[in-house]
Amino acid sequence: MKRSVLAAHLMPLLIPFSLFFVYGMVLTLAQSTGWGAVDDYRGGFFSAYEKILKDPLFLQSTIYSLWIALASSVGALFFGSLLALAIWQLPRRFKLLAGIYRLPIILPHITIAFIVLFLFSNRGMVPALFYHWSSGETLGPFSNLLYSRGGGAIILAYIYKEAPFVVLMELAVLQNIPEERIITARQLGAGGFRIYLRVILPQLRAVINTLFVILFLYSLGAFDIPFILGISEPSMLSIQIYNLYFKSDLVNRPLVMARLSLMFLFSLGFILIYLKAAKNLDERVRKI
Amino acid sequence: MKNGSLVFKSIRSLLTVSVLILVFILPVLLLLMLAFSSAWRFPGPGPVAFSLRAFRYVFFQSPGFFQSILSSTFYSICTVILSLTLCILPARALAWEDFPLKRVVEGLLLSPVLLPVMTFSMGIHILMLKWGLTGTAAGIVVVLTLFNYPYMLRSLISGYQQFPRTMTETASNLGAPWHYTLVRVELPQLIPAIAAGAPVVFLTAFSEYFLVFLIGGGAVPSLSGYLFPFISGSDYPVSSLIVIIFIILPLLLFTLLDSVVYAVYKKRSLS
Repeated sequence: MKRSVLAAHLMPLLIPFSLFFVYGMVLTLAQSTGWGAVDDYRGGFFSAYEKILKDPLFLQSTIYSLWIALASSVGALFFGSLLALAIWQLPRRFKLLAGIYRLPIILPHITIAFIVLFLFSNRGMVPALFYHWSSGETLGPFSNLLYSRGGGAIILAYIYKEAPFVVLMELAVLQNIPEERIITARQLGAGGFRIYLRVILPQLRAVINTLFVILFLYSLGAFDIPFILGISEPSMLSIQIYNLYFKSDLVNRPLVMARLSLMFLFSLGFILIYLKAAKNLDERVRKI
Repeated sequence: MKNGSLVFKSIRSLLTVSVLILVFILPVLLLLMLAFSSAWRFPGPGPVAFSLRAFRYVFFQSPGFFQSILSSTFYSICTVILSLTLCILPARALAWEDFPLKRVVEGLLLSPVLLPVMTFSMGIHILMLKWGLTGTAAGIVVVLTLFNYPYMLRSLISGYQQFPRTMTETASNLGAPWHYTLVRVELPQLIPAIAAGAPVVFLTAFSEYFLVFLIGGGAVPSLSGYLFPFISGSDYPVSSLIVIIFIILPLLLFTLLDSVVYAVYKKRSLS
């Protein structure tokens, strides 16, 4: 392919990509310094950043968002891996039934939020069952899930939505592990847990690493689920940004854009550092 | 010993199946129960009364339902078509050619699904506002394509990687112009790749609430936008019914897609 032909091939995506993503990000970065956002902007180049980094609400919602992203991605990976293993070991006659795990993949995030809401809100079905079982004495351990400061309801919704995705990706790898390997390991005296750790997990490591990056960054910046299940304080960064962008004065625009820029830089750095670390880890394991 | 491990295996299978039913089937049954009830009030546990109120309301009384379902289907299909159109040539180049910085270009082009949606959406909103795309179906198709085309790109790249290049070379040696080769030789071979990418793009577009709400601003109806007030208004029966529609509709569409792909293949192999 000649250079010009190659360029012509890539143009259909490179043009919209630069027009919207690159230009949009440049605009975001520019407005975070006050340029192009407010006519008579008084602050200095980095004053929006200085201001938000000193804002306790920003720090609080950053920590909260990181916590939710970490808990839901680790939770989804943990439960997804368990379920993938369990489904993989099911006898053939149950495989069709096991396909039901894909349901949350096709469900939109807001419907998952609704399912968590009707099951676990303090007037929901699970607390109601506890109420009946205990003859009105208790609403059970989930009664305060929705209003807990730990964001339990949001984390639960993300796990329900994302664990099946983990199952889907891991099953594809698991199905390609030759059975002889497991049999050999067993004949050499390895127990179930040891086989998982030493034979199966190394095969899954690459997919787990990729999934962790995808799930962590997704839940860090997503909107739908915390919009329905979140509480006002602490709130997730995405909700805080949305509220500032639409519901506050234009003077605050640089503050919104500075938050977005920090989120962007963090995500970029996270991808680079994590993937590099994961690669190194893999190589080290291989050397051993 | 052998017997013991067999018992252990059966118990394990039973446990897995029970968890699957409890976690994935039971919620759907509860949704069905709610959809057929007039209301649900704490402490339940059953509904107040069985009724078809939700069905009556959604299908006959509420003005927005059919409009929103049609609108969602329409812009999601447009998103699939636009993604396919934009991705086909880049996928061809990324699958077939080696060029400097290829990994970087590929990573960059696949990045929109990796980075948090929020980071770009406000910048894109300002641009779309400037270019008069907010509040229009076109704007929604553009924004949904921007965030979802990587799924299509990835499946087209793997489609092209499995595609015998000699077929394209034969066609061009015989004098076929490039666009003819693309449409008549390559596209039919890419149907499995398209059939793998299209449902994902369709589904993510169809399910999206935030971007549609951000760019559409309520001017373009959508099924997720239709559902939202019922969730925040705690109307459990109507919300449940719409969630069930969200389950059934994609399944119907995918069955349809499968049979179309199958029919196309059958026709081609026969002719």
